[in-house]
Amino acid sequence: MNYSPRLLLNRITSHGVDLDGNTPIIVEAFTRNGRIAYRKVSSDNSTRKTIVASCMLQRESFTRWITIPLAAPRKAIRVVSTLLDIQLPFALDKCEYSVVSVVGNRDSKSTSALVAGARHSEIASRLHLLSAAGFSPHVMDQEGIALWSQLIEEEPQVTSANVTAVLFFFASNRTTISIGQNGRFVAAHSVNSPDVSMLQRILRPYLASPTRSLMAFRSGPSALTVCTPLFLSDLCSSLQISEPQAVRDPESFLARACARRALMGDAYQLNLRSGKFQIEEHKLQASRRARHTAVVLLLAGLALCTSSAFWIWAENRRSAELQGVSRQLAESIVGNPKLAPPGQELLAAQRSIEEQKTIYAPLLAPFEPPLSDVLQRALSSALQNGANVESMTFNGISVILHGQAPDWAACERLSVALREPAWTTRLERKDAPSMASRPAFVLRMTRIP
Amino acid sequence: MKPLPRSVQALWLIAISAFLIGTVSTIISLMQMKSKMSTWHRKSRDIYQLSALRTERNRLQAAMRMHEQWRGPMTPVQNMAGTFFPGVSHVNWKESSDLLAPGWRINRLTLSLADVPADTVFRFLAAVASNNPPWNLESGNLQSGSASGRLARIELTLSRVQSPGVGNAE
Repeated sequence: MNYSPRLLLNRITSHGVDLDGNTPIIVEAFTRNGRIAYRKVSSDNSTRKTIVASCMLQRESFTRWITIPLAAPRKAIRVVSTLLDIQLPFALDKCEYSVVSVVGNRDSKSTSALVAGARHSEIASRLHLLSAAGFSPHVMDQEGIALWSQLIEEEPQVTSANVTAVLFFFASNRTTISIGQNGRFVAAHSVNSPDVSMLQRILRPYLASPTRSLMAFRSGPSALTVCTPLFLSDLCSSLQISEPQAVRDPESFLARACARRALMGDAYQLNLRSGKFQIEEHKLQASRRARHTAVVLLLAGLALCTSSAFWIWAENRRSAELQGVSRQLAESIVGNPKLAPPGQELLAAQRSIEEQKTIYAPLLAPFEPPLSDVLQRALSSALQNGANVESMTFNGISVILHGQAPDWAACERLSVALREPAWTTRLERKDAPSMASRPAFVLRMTRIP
Repeated sequence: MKPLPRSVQALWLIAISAFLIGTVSTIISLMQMKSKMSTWHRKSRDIYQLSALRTERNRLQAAMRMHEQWRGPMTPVQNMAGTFFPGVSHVNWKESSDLLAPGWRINRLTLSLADVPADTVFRFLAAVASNNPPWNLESGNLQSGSASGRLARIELTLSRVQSPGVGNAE
């Protein structure tokens, strides 16, 4: 709905074409420092980088605000065609139409949708006329909406609250009136000749509210010729409005609207050159974009698949490596690979070593620090501390000394002296015979495994 | 809107399939990553422990090889006791031999002495330990005598491993 043809076609300038009778009015729009700029051109010198835009006249097309009893805009859009079909005096399948805008209503229960469209025959006729004049537009806008949209762009004061704005567009073969309120497009009408009474009849319903301030503008290639002081006086007195204000460069107003909207897009974007009228370039572009998007998606999918496959491969390889190393080590310990089932290597190796150690522990004894050294040191330390060792019981893992010392401090010094990384000591007081003056002790030394 | 050409539709179908497969497999991989990391961590720890166990086994095997190389002439312990403790007549001897593993035996010798100098006992122990294969002090007890530096009574159990193919020379 709100798409920008520039994005679709990747163009950098646009040509807006308004046929005033058989005279084309061409405006080139381009961006300069981020702002839109216009330049009148005498002939269509469009290049591959130019979007050409024209519009269906108001009398060849229709605009409708349709009220849909659904609050959700997405749902509302789905039923627009059904409701529109009822309202139109011709079959909808003979038309090209576009939902231009969808807004929620104040009651929060319904939605209003602005629809613009034209019959196939009218579009074909207009394209034929344009083709005869040497133009093949990419975009077919709708006159009434384009005029209103350009008015908002050039006269932003019309978007103020409680303002009703009327834009008269005078061309050699028609007069189009575009009406909006509070900056929102309301309706557009077209008459063949600028007849004041007819204009009065058309506009009266919109100007009924006295509380609204009214702003009127005039534009179009015939604005200067039609808007004589007498005509304006008649118009103002019959409609009870102030004199319509001329817009800047009124002649090219519609061409500017078409060019700008095609290049920049806006809130009321539409293109009636769709469906069977869509130009081949658009079709190709749409197909190319679809293919391009699919390729990007495919590449992303393949990248994800590849990364997942790589992860699975790396994961399996790492697991196999670790398992291989683990198995190799276990086999070197256990000897028989069947003794170490996968995942149980450590357990099997631990059992094997325990069994081997139980059997072969005496083989290691010659390579351990000799027990006699410990005994000798214990005896010499006891002697140094004035202790008397009465008995000493020992085996491979413990040494127990019974004795007496001059005082308890000497016992503790002995305990500390015999403490070393491979042995722990525990000192206990022993009940001494009642006549003994020296404290008796038991010193237990235990080898740390 | 006109439908896309069949080729583009097919491309879309393939692309969506590939994307879905890729996304699902990536999600599964990510979900499995934590448990895999944990498994790897556990395996690495196992390998570290297995390396330590292999070092232990290497020690055992080195010890076995060393014992197999000890095949030189040996001085009987009784002779050595006679040398170190001359005049000590009341020496009690007790010998035993047990099977350690096929081909491997452990010989034990328990001797009891009384009233011997402590330093001589330790020199005797150092001398028997220098035999090939050595006699190791396995267990025992001692009681000090009244005179300083002499032991009232000692009982020592010495053990020696006998490797396969080596007869008892004593």
